[in-house]
Amino acid sequence: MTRIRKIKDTVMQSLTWLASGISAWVLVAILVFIFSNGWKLLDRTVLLGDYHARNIVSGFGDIQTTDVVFTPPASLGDDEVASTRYGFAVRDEIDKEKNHVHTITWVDDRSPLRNGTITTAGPTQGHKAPFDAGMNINKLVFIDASGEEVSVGRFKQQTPQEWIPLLDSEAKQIAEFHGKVPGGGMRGSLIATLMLIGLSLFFSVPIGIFAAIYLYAIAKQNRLTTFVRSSIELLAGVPSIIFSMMGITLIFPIIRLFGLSGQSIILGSLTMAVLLLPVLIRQTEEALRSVPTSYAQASLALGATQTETLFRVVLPAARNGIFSACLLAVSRIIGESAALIFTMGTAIQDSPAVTSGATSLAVQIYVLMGGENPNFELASAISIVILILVLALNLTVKVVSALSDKKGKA
Amino acid sequence: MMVILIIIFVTSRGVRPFLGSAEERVDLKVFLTGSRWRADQGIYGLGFVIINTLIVSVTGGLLALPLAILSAVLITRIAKGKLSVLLTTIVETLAAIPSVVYGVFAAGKITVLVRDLGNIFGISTYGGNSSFAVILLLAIMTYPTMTTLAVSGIRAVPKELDFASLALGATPTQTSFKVIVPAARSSIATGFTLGLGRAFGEATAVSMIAGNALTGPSWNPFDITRTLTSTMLTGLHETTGLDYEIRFSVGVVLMIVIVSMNLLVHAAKRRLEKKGSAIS
Repeated sequence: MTRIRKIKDTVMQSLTWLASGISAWVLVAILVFIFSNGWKLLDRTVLLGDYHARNIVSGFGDIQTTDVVFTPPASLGDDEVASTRYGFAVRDEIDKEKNHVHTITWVDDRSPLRNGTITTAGPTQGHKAPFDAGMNINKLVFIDASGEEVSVGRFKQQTPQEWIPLLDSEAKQIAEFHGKVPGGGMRGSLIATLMLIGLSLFFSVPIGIFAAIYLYAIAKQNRLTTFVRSSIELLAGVPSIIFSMMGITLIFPIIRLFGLSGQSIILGSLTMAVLLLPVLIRQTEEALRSVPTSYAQASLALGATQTETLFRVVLPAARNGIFSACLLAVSRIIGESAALIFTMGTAIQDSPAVTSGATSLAVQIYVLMGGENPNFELASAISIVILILVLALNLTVKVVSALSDKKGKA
Repeated sequence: MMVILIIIFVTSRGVRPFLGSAEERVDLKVFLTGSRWRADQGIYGLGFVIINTLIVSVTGGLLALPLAILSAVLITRIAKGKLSVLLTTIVETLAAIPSVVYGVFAAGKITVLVRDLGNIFGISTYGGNSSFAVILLLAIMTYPTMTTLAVSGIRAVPKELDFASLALGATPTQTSFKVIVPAARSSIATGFTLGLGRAFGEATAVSMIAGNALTGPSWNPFDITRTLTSTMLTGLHETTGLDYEIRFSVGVVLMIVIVSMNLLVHAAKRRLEKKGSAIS
């Protein structure tokens, strides 16, 4: 080996290391970026909260202040100010829209403020008003000893250190509470995503399995079969945004026959079902093919018919592979955005319904990134959820296939 | 069956803007060759969008291809045992990340990188939204597909070729690059096609950072751009009217571009193979 050859070899080898190093670095950069932006935000209220903030105005009728003195829990921090007469504590915080808010951090179960009823006109008028930790207090109106109404709170630019002692010393009776259940949550999209997963699998898995069985066992080797196969291949290479056009032009008129109109989760899941079919069919067929032929031969030798063998022996033996295919389908649904933007719309819903439009987690990210001021924090928080789900599903698939490999060898 | 239905239905919807009533009609020639896309003025010229899409997708793909081949060589021929598994896992994880997440990353990191790079050269960018950012993003997104295909292609090369080359006195590295990689070129070309398909069809992530230029084509990589998919997605508010219908026409163009690109790569692959068989 000459020296020049040696140098050339070393250079080429280092290039391969460099290339892989770049890919590893990109992966780490993505994970670090997403987690560092979203992790701070990701808590229970973001995960399970509403996206749209809800303003609450509640009245308290003639409820008189009791003489109970509440003891705040010892765990309150220095920045939390507690009202001992009304049994709650607030903290001055900066919310997701970068505004100062007074967030309730503790409410005693017996606090008289929990007995309010909603006073704004609307279907919820007269219902019990919420007063819970996590909400923001903007304004409290109380009646003092002289019978005058006094308003205190954040809206007067007062700090909690100013208005809470005032409330405790002056108030004789609480008249009104103005607060807000903060938004910026992802519960609606989470539910919509679950609905989407359920419906898409319901539509696509049976068809996928039967199509795979057909290709595996029933189809003859002729031009029609070749055509079907190449169609499936072609379908797998079609970008998802084309599928969403297909959903609008082809599936939409069909479901309109059933009285559904507009963008809906049903339309989205039917579109997803078509999108998933090629992958499902191919992987199920592969799973069926990997079942040793001796199984089928043994079953046939014992006198079972072809169909019995297929459904009682071959299909159960391939269940691990089919299960993996379904998991990969779920992970595809969670990550899909382009196919759903046209078919399910881009309006974020807090309580999604199957027959109306909603956003999945991925589409919510797209919507959040779309405006003039992209909301990176929330988008990253949702990305964390998506990443964890998708990577966990992929890992499960790997474990399942490793397990069945081991079993096969044994 | 679905394929035919998709083609028929989307196409029939897509040609509607060109057949409608006079004031709602779009001239097909202007649509295909125009260099201005002003939805607000009713001017729909897609020509420059097609060119932009071709530029960013092909450049992104070409950027990813050497990286993918080099990584594949490392995974299959240099790295042993655990390291090889680790590298494969990295590629698989990159492949599993959904495109919206790539979009968030691109809008938050790649654009900032491009903006800073532009500042170094004294070029002001639109917050980093540019063709260059799209190219980088597409290179990252197509890399896993190409690597996976290249790895399986290299693994499928018969051992005899390897042994023959080594027996003739070539070093292992020489063998990898001069014998094995050329022998796996068919898989690598397939991976390149699949990667390009992903690049052309990539919608959400690209539309977050493309910037949606109104005119073009622009040859400056730091200038904002507009791709077919970002055109289909941006400003989607109503589900009626010309502005909505025209998106289907763009979809038809996208399908045509992808299919012709596939045919082109296919033809190139065939020529490559012919050349290869002539040598051996």
